[in-house]
Amino acid sequence: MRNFQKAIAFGLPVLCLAAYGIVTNTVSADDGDTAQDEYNNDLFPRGLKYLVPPPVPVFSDPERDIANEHVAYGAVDENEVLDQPIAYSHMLHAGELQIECQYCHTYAKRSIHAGIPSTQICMNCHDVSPNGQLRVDPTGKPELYKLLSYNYGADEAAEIFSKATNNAITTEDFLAGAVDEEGTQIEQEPIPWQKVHDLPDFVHFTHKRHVKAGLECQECHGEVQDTMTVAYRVGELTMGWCLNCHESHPSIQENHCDELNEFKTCDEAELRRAEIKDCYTCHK
Amino acid sequence: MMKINRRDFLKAIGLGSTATAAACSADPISWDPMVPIEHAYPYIAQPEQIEPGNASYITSVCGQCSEGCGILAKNREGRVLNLEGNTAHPLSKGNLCFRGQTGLQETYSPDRLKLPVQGNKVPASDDGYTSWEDALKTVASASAGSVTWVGRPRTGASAALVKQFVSEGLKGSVLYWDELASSALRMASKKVFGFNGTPTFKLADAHTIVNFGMDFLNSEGSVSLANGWSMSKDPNHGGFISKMFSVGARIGLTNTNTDIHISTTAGSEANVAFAVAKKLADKKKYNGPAASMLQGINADELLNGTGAKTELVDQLVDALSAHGSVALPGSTEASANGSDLAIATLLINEVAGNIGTSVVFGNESEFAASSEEVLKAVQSSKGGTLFIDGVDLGYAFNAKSGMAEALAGVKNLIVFANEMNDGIPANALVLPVGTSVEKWGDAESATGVHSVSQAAMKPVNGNVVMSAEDILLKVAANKGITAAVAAPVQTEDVVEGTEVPAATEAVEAEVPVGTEDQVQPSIAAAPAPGLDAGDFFSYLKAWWESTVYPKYKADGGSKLFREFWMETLKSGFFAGSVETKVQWKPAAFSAPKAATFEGSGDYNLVLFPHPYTGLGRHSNRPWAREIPDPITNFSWGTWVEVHPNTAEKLGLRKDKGVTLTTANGSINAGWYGVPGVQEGTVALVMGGGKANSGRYAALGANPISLIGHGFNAAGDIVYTNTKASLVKNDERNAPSPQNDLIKSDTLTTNGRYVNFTTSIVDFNNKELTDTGSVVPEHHLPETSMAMRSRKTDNRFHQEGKDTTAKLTDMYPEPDHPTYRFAMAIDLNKCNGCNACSAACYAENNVSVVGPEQVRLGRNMGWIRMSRYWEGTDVQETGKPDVRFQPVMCQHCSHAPCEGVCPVLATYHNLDGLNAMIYNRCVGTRYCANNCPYSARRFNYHTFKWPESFNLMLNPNVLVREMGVMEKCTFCIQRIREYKDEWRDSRDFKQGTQSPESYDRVTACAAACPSDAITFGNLKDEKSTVATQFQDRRAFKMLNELNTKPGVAYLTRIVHEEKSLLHHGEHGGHGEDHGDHGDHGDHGHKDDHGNKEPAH
Repeated sequence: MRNFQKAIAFGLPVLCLAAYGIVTNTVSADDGDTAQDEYNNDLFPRGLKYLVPPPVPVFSDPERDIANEHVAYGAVDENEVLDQPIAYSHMLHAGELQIECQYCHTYAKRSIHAGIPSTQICMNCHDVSPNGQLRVDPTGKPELYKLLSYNYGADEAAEIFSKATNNAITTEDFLAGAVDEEGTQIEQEPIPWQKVHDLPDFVHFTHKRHVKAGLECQECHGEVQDTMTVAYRVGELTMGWCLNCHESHPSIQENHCDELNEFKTCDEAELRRAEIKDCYTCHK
Repeated sequence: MMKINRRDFLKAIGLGSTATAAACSADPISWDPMVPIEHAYPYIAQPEQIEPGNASYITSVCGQCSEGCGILAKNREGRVLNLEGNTAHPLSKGNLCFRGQTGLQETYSPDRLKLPVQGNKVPASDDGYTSWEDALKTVASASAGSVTWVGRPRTGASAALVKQFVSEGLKGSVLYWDELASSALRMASKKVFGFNGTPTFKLADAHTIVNFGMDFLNSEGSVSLANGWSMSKDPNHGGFISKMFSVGARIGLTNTNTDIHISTTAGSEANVAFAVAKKLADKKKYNGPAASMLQGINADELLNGTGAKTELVDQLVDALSAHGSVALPGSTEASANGSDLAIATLLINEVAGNIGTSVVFGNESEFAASSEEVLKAVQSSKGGTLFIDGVDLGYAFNAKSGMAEALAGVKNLIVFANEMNDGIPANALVLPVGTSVEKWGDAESATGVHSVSQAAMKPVNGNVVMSAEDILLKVAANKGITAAVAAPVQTEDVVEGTEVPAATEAVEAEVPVGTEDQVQPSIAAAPAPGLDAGDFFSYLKAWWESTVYPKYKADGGSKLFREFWMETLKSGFFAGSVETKVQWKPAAFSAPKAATFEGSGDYNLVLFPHPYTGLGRHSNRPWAREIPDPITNFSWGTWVEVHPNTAEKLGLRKDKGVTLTTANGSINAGWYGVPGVQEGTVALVMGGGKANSGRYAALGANPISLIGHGFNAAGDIVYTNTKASLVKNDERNAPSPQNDLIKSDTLTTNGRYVNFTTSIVDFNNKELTDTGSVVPEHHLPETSMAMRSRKTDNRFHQEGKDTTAKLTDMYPEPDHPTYRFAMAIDLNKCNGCNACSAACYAENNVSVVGPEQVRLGRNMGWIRMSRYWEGTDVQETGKPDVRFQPVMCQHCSHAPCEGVCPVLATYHNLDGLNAMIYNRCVGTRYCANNCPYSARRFNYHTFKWPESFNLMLNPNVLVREMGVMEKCTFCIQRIREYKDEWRDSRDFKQGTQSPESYDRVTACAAACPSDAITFGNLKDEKSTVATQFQDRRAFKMLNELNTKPGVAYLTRIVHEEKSLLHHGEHGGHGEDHGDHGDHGDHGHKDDHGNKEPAH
């Protein structure tokens, strides 16, 4: 503690000096040439970055909107469930209805992104069929009103579905339900999901290789089919957490080379075991 | 305001080091777990072609010059992020030149117009724009009366459309013009061959190449020329190494690759060319159709006063008479007597027998116009309508030409341009027509290759564009403009000398034919589209059906048009070929006179195009301005090249600039002492200092304002007609990454053994072929640092045989189980064009830092084009000996940078890569200090990308921040992507897999127009790179440091008639030759001898 106080006593004035110098652009480079650094020059814009980041996050950027932030990685807090535009239930769809994960998250096997399903995929089940039948009756389910409104726009959706349900949903009820959290009527627009799993920009994760190596989605995303209504993060998403698996995941640790459809030989599996701990695997 | 000196600041920081050390984490995220909630927006209806995270590659046409190279546009999530060559395309063969690479910066330029604009100012807000509706009305009302079209050369369907609209529909005139296109060559071929077009030069099989100042590997050339040039330098291609001669008052970037430079006074190139033609004719006893033109010529008289050395000219004549050759004309640099020179070069080609072999003629250029004709056309459209299509008429034509007044006098001026340029006056209506990746189009090369340019993305940033073709079709539909639809294309367009006519007849015969006046003979010849096509895509498709499809059928194709069209879209091109046989027609002719330079001053002023920005067309592309010019190492600015003796005489200082004064004005510029420039000449670079062409184009000074206005006989603007005086001034020299010009600016290697050449004698020495290396590195003089270290270092004197193997390593050899990624760079093929750098900037999100930071040596390019000008006495000897060497991170097995990193941010991985982990880096810069190759770059700031350049960042590569070291990664993201695809290619049932080839994986290797760079896996013995590492010419840079680099350079082969190995006096290789024999040469057998490819 004493050392810490000392550090503060010496450090604080320096920090202030540095901050002052950087903010007011008065630290000049002594290179013989006059090199007054101009930030935010139209031609060659540069970001302002603190040499020494202030210890309280709020101060690092005066325009920071701390209310719109969340803890993205580290210990899991099950109460940290983000307010999603639609309270979509994984438990219902993946659990009760047994829909395959990759039915919606189509690209998990093919791309770095698993993909958030397009509204059209939801409408495969939730739309009204050409002969006017409903596969899923939205009556009394305001979350579905929202979905349908994101696809059609609230007005059009209200018309379609009050007709399809023979006015079991009145237009007024529908429109009353089809509002976003700020209370505005939903228009035809992409659903503004909030990212639950948001890796830092310096991490390049690929779903494809993990799925192809035979991992189950649940190993990282939790038992969404049994436990989650609105999805929340269960993995820590820290580097240590990643490396835990890359070092000691059963499929890597034991000689499961036959089962690893990705690898041709056990030697190759062995090699990959070393390779996947390479920093370049994720940081490029 | 208080000013803190950096030194004081550092002292203060030192005092508080406890505090700073506690919190010097470069990344606030590591101790701040809170991040803004981001949104993920899915599609409402997912487009089938888009897979988030996976790129799709769309074939298109480059469009940055008139060549028509096929490209692949890498599209991710709807935006084109990078361009690459189309590997199957016959012109580009998968390569992309510097200008092509920067083309994407046009698409994302922050200076682009969102909507049509009335006037020549970029509106500050959206209110300043005109709506498309109003703009189209204006165009429609202007499309009447006398109409003139001045634009970039168009070919294919869009040319057909312009012809229909302007010349047939509106009875107007069409003029195709390009800043750098030389009409001298076209006029010359018209004169002597009756062919209205430019020939295509095939360099691949030329033993001798003679160039009269054309920058054919850079601004005035194309990928196919560079490709041909590199093939002529490849011993495996034809069993010979081409010898290149150049003639001129200056050695430009292309001519630095020359073997013999014949220095002449500026403007007398034509005299030398005629003298060469005459001497050659005498030597070959030429008696062909051109003989009459040579009768009255006295070669020695012509050479008098040109300053050309007779013995060098004789050498050139000998070389020309011995084998197949190519003579290339001068262009901008020799514009004063360009028309004479063009005739003379054709004469040389005729006498040497190159016409039809290495100089071939294809399509004529209909509507091509010279600068003089353009000026006249603009002047005569006063009170009428003028369409300007993509060209800048303001920069090349200076104030004295009267072009600005002529433009201002035009009643209806319609300009198709994406950005403002200097040739747009206030009375213009500017219509943003989109770039080549945003609209449909096509191109036909002079040799008959048809390519389709697909629209690969929608414009970003709220820009709303409509292609020029669509505008014309809309206007034509609204106004009822019609043109007689051309009769279906028949045999006249088809290749001569093939069996095409018969085949076409056969098709015709099968199909029922209508009445004779309804010309509709066959399904193969569908009717050509008219102006009622609706939109250009329909027009394009119909045009292809009517014009290209018959060629395909004639070539024996059997598919239906629909299939043919889909196939073409997939491949990007239809490889037709057109060859026109020409016959020399003796023309009236008088012997050339050397050009005159007017005004007062001691020096002849020669203006030359910037190797990347040309005549200002690409000046607003930051990459083209920031990446240093290889000869001078200058970026961003305008500079003059003077002979070092001139500089000494004038007392120029390396850190200060010069003032250049002519009768027409004066500018301040930087200067560089280049031995290539004649002593009586100063050469000034063009491309900078544009007044109204965007934010980056404005940097530098306008050189064209200095010269007088004039045209040569062919109507080209003359850039060499003025005398200038030069004095030093107190301004700073032009920006250069060599931050302290006085100390570190070097012309030569200064005796450091980093870049070698091999003489052709050594290369052809069969004795050496069997014994090993021909690299002088293995035969250094005893006084060299490397040899001294070997002598004093007892590691070299251990019993044994091999030099390198006997070096005792402090560290264990790194383990490379499957891969050792490595790169081989053939310096014999590298011509210093820097396309690799541009590709690297594009692929790896390398920051553009601007002139101020460049001055401080902080440019971020991962590839440095090192240039060593060894032949500083080129004026006497004629041997420039300029050596280029692209230097990137060498990915050493024993990397000096790795050991000194305190946080293990850089390490050697299992694939042989020297990894650099940015988020781990704390910015101590020890690694950069310890790197003997200076391959690392430090981010002194968080450099940002101006709005809409940020949209072309590569999402697979991290954008680095302030305080982080960065360097070449061998494009790790591309390696991983390739491995990823390769793994997926495994067929488990069959147990098969496609072969692994990393040859073109890195961005630089993929782009290199001369195929000098090969990438690959050294552990795979069959890979090209492994073969190249075993090549006799292979050497590692600074090998004596034992860093074991992963980059091998192959020496440049020079046409030197003596051995360059330092043991010549001892006799053949392999004998005992002194001190280093015992450790040096036995090793070569093991190193290089066994796996030697046959030469």
